[in-house]
Amino acid sequence: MDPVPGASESPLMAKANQLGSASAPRTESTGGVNDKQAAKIICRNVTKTYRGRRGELIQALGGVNLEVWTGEFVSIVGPSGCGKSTLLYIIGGFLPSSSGTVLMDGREVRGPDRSRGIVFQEHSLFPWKTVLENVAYGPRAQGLGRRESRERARHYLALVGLPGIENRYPRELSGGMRQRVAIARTLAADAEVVLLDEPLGALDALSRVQLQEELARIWQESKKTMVMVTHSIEEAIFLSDRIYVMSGNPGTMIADLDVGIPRPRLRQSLLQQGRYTSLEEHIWSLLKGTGLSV
Amino acid sequence: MSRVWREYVRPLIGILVLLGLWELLPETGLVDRELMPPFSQVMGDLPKLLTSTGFGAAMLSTATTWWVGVVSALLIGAPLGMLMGRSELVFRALNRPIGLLYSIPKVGLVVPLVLIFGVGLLSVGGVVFLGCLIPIVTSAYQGSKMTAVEHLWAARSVGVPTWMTGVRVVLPSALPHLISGTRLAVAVGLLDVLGAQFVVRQSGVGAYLYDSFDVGQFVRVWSTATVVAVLGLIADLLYVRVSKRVFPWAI
Repeated sequence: MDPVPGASESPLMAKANQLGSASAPRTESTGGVNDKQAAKIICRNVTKTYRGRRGELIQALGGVNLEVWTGEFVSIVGPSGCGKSTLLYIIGGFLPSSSGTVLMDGREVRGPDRSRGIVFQEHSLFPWKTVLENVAYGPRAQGLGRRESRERARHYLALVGLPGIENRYPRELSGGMRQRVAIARTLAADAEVVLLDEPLGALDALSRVQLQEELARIWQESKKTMVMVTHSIEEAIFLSDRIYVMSGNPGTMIADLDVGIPRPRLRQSLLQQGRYTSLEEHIWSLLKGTGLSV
Repeated sequence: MSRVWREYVRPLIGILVLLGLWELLPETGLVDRELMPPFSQVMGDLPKLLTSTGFGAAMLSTATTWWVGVVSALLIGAPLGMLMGRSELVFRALNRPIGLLYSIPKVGLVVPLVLIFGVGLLSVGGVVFLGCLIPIVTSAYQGSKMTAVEHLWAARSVGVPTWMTGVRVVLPSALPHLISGTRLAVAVGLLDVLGAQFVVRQSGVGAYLYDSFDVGQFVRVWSTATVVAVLGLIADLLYVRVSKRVFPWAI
């Protein structure tokens, strides 16, 4: 795959791409289910500036470029506070950018809509609704009948491996179950792009590993485009087709890396693959170069 | 056995100790038996009190005024508080006037309200309304202010239009706070209605209590106060039980 258009505009990005290619040659689609015909999402020179408490201007994002192809699983990794969640919220239409454009299917993103669903680290589910009502919330809001909405909700609950908990409230679920319900809700609302804001960040180590595997399966079965923000390099490599690496102050893209590991990926064998090790080391070296810790 | 003890017997221990003290104190001579009759004597007056026409009418008047005040404060205060939590403009416009109201003893307002509305539901109910407004507005404000932005964004991303998020996200988010605030308002409302009826002395349990005091019927004073206390307790228990049933996720 050719380097992402726009990436060469940044000398640091170009250098990082060369480094990525040197350590691991880029390959054509490795996702198996992906049909990379058109860019689903394009960010062009997106900046975000806001006022701090004392009225000073803080630049969170400084001219970010990014492209996500239809059906891809893309991760964004970077140090804390580098603006990766801000970028995700701008892609979702929840926050306006200060300059630059975000396009989805060629149309400018001007606000949130049902084509882009989001799963947060916490507070994703409505505590006043049962699991079934949460998942059926999107179809109901879109005018689907009660019975059809519930049928669709049950279908997606089965897809995320949670049948039989329809009448429980979110507070009665474990962190991992809550996140799976949140993913089901986004899928049931028929989002074309699923934005994941550190969705596994609040889970314990075991639940996190289990849910990573679930997420990989859900992505393959649902064939949705997914964009995930994460602190975990290992998680990004395990799940993604491509990984964007960001640096902070202000947030900029410093690398766009093809993962290039065939799917399905098995955790045990993945960790022993030379490609995994070289990619992990490469991302670490890029992040160390930013002088910030993940 | 342990469940019966925990849920039914243990909560009653404190009340039983108080009733025991009430029974014994007049007997010891530490308090005047005529001014504070023992519990058993007060209980003896209850059948007569509960079947008297005067008390029934007073009770009806108090209950009506109490609930009209609470419900009207809820209907006006809840949306007002939620608007204050979501709109800086509304907050700035209303924060000072409501803050001013906070420091005024509400019962004291009954006199100017009587001058405006005359004696009746509007003046006494107005006191209850103003007394209940503060806990309801404050709790609705806090609840809506604390609405998670994630919930608003999640709703928007599944197709809920912005103008609907107030009802579909902010209101349910604010409910746990609002339920607590309204519980407080129910208790405050009872205090205010009795206080206002003490002052106006035209109708209601407050007036009935004061009239009994004036004519030296101290047993009647105590039995009336006991009925009011029990009714307050029942109202609170009912409120909690109904809230748990209707909003199980919030409590």
